[in-house]
Amino acid sequence: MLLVAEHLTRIYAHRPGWMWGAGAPGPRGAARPALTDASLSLERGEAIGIVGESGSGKSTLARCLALLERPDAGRVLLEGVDLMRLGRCQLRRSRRRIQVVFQDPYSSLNPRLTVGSALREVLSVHDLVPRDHIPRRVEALLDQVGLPARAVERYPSDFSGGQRQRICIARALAANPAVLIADEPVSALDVSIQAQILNLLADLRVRLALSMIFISHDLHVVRYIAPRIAVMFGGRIVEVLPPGVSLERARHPYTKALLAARSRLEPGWLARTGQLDGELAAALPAAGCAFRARCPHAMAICETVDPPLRDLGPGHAVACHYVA
Amino acid sequence: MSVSTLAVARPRRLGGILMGGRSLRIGLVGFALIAVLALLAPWIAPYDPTALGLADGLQPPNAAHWFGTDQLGRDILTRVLHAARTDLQIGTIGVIIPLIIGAVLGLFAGYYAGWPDAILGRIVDVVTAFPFLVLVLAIVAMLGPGLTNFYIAITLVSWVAYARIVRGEALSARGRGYILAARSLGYGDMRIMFRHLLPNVMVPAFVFGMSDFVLDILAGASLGFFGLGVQPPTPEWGVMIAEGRNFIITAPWVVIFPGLAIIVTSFFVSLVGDSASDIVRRVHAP
Amino acid sequence: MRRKEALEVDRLTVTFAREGRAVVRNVSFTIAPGDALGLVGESGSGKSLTCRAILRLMPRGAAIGGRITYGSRDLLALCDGEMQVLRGSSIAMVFQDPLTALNPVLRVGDSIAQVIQAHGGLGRRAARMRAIEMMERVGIRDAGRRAAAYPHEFSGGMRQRIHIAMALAARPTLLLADEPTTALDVVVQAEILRLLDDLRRQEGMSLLLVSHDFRVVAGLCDRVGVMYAGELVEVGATQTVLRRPEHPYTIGLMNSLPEAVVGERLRAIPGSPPDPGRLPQGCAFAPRCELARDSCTTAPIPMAEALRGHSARCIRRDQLDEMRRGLVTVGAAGT
Repeated sequence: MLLVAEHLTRIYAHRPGWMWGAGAPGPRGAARPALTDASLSLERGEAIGIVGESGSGKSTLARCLALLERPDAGRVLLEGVDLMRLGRCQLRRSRRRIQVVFQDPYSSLNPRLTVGSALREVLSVHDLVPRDHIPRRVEALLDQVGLPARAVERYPSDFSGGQRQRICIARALAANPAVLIADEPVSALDVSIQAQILNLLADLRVRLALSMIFISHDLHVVRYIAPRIAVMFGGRIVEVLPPGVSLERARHPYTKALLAARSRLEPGWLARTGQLDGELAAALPAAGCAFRARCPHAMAICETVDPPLRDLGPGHAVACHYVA
Repeated sequence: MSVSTLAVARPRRLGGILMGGRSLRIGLVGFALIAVLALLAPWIAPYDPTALGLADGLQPPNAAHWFGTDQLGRDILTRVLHAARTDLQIGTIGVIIPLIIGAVLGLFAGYYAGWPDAILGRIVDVVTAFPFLVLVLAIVAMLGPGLTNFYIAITLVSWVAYARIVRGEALSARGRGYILAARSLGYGDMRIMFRHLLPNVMVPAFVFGMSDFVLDILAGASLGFFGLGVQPPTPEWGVMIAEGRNFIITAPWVVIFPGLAIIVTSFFVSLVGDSASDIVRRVHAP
Repeated sequence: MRRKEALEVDRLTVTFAREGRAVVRNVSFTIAPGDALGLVGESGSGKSLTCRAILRLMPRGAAIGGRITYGSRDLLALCDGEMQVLRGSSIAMVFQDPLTALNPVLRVGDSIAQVIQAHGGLGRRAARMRAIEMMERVGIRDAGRRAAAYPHEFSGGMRQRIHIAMALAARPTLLLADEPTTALDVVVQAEILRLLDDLRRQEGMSLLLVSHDFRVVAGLCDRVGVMYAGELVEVGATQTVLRRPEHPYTIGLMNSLPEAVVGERLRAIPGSPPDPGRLPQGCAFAPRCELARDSCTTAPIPMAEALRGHSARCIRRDQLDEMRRGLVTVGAAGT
């Protein structure tokens, strides 16, 4: 097992950002933790997808997995090593093994560094390649992501969004990571470019046997890249769909609501959508199941007990009192 | 959602900024001219700046003395040129040293936030509670007159402005994608602060430095007027005005030319500062 | 009192002369009264500016050419004062970010009431009542109480509903919606679209919906227009366009959606959209098109009718069968 996250919990409280804190302080005594009891495991060469909307905790999970934030509870193990226990120096070195591609390609690149400098920096800081090999490796990286070699002298501002995202991917690959976390990597891009980047990621996964965690709000995009999917809502993983199980066989009421409400390329699909309950309250309830206000199957127990993730079948797990 | 591929903010390197805009060019050329004149003063000035000629006192501008002479018979043109060296030095040193100190402190405070920021904040609050000139005057009064003490005073007071600017920019930049990416790439704090954050937060500080340049010259001139700045016989524009104040009516040229020198220099520097800040604003805005 | 009018856009052009960019080029379409037309395109396609040109909400430096008529009125010929009367009362607009429309220091009820008062001549009391009515119509519960709240107290979806309420408060006959759901979550998006659809039918309004998402337009609009590099490259009834697209770009867009492929690779369109300042001669899509020939790049391509009411700007349409193969389209299946 390459990467294991166990019971990650993150509660945002008023805390000045220090080394770890990249997140904003939440309201005093926040009602619901941003992330509760999230556990994941990733084998070498495997890809897992995380689907969730805003407020689902998917970004928090990504940041905890990438060690950009320190979870308040739980641990992250990379190749068996508990990353929480590492000292500053070791942690920094381990960081390169888990790389992230962020959503916004426009702010993810230092505008004052040429593409070449940015890539070279990764290679030299981590001593990944002997000095004289660096230029060749940089060229190879650019080639891998489909960019011309001339790109080395250019600044990010000379590139379009899709190209910048490729540069970000090249930078992540430069660190020779064991795991690549892609947090909404295509959401800020045009549709036709999205397809190009998705193809690139899928190719890289196969060619480099890269383990990947792919996060998006779009179920279909996630399924294209990752056969195994975890659905998040209200800070929890509410369903895990194994490869082979089609999306239509999802069981959690939220997943089903997502599937029912998603837009599709069929004329008049809107009219065929059933009852929708998007937002009834702005804030999620503090206790019990986060989804109960919108759930057609809510029962008494849903108000008090937050359902844990339970196995339904091989690899298929659901966090719901009604279903399990 | 799709992002327009057209309206992309194009952050430019410092060189790029300096090369654009007509006001910018005029300001730069004007300032360069003054700097060159100042540098060459010992060679191009017609007379010795300290040479007294009591018999030739208070001559109006004429063929021998283009700017006339002051009450001690010294050639004003020569003195104005030599004073330029002093004043430009005041402006430059008075900006560079506080800039470096303030920027580094601001960078640390902005990057780490938390208590380094809180401490810096309190210090900045205390210093800015006093008006700039008053504080400088007080320090010089304590230390005694002279150029060195003047520099010390300016440095002690000016750094806070730069610290504030850089801290503000750093605070907002530290959350940006590429800083996050640098952290995730396992780069150390020092590297992130100085190689990634600093170049992106320095420009507003430089721009402010331009107006600070002018302020420093004016401060030097004001202190010189009170006799607390540069000491005679070293020529300095403010001192020249101070010494000539008794002759404003009878021999106005004694005061006009150094005054003009201050105005013209400040004008060119302000041009650079204003247009640079416009360009920075345009370039950094989405 | 409220006439049913048709919107006719005829050879609309929008240029930024100083920069030499032609961002909307010769766009023509009609929206019959009560109809809904969707404009689909990626960034730089000119769809947003086309939409804004109707209300003349243009950025500085933009020059509009062509003709836009609403009913009998020539919109481009109206003076500013007349245009202002039109905005909100006959033609209203909904934007992507409701925060641009909602004044953060005004209570939402007042924001909506202002629109009513500006166009309706109702007194303050009556306008307030109507504002609450509008809020109920857009699905905000407990509207009486919530009208006193400020915009920041609402979630994104709720704010968009309020924005829609403001837009519809003066009962316009044409609604322009520029990416109204792009910033919203999946389920909320569907709800807002449903709301727009319901209101449209109830009021008998015409709708122009601009979106980068083909699927959004597919759900709501009877007709769809696909824009690329400032031009309309295909227009027709949504059903026919989806079932049998007649332009390589349209097919490319459809192929780019992950649900369009079953178990195989996405057939992505190579390259990227052109720079509006440097448009090629002839077909703007040619550099990225696998069917491009020399004849595509020499002269501008005219719109050609494939079926009644369905036209496309492509001279290689007869070669499209191969590209269309493998499109997991709609129509018959449509679950």
